[in-house]
Amino acid sequence: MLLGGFDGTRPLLPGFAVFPNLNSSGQVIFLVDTGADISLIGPGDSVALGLEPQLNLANPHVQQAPTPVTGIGGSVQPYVIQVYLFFPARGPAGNLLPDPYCRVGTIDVLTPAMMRTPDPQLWPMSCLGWDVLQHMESIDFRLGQGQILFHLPA
Amino acid sequence: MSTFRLLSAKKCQSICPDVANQLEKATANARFLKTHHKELVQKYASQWVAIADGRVVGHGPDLAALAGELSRQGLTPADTLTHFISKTQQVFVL
Repeated sequence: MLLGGFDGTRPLLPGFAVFPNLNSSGQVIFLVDTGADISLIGPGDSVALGLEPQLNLANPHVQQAPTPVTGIGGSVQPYVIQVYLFFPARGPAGNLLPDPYCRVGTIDVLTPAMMRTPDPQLWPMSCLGWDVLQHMESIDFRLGQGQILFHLPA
Repeated sequence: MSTFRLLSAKKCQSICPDVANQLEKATANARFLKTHHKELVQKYASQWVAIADGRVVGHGPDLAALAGELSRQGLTPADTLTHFISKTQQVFVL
């Protein structure tokens, strides 16, 4: 299983992302967004991870998303890049297992220039959407304990 | 819609040989952020903070400037967790 927690009210899962074609990797805290169709890297993380300067369509490893991403603040056309997402895997007793849980795919990336406001407070954070969450056996929101247990298929 | 393929443990190792260590750091930094959140709001409201090894290693309102400062310290995004500390509680509908 994977173990997440809450930042006040928001469900979060820390992980490590590797972007092999952009020679970048780093720590990311993902919002667990069961209402999102797709996962994405938020504008803040795209800068913090050093992705932003490499995000242009002249780069053969960067594509434009085929469809815009629509949220409460409007629509944007993100970039798409390959990513390996790693999360610490735990045994039934919560003990850390030697092998992490890893998924590989393409992920949408937002940049500050795509945002309608320069105020980072209003920028979306990186999130895990249905494209990743659908692979979990179940997600157990233990609100009283401030924990989220992601049960993985056997 | 894209889907994410599961990667074997062996392949994980080849992609990121040091991943266990990196995940340990990421988990510790996320724990620090959670347990010190109130203190961080008092000290660094409306700023980006970078956390590494259980302490704040950089902060400021300009994320690009902070990234440059971290780089000068020899820290990479693999070492640090960077997070924006909101001044006021936001109400989101996602």
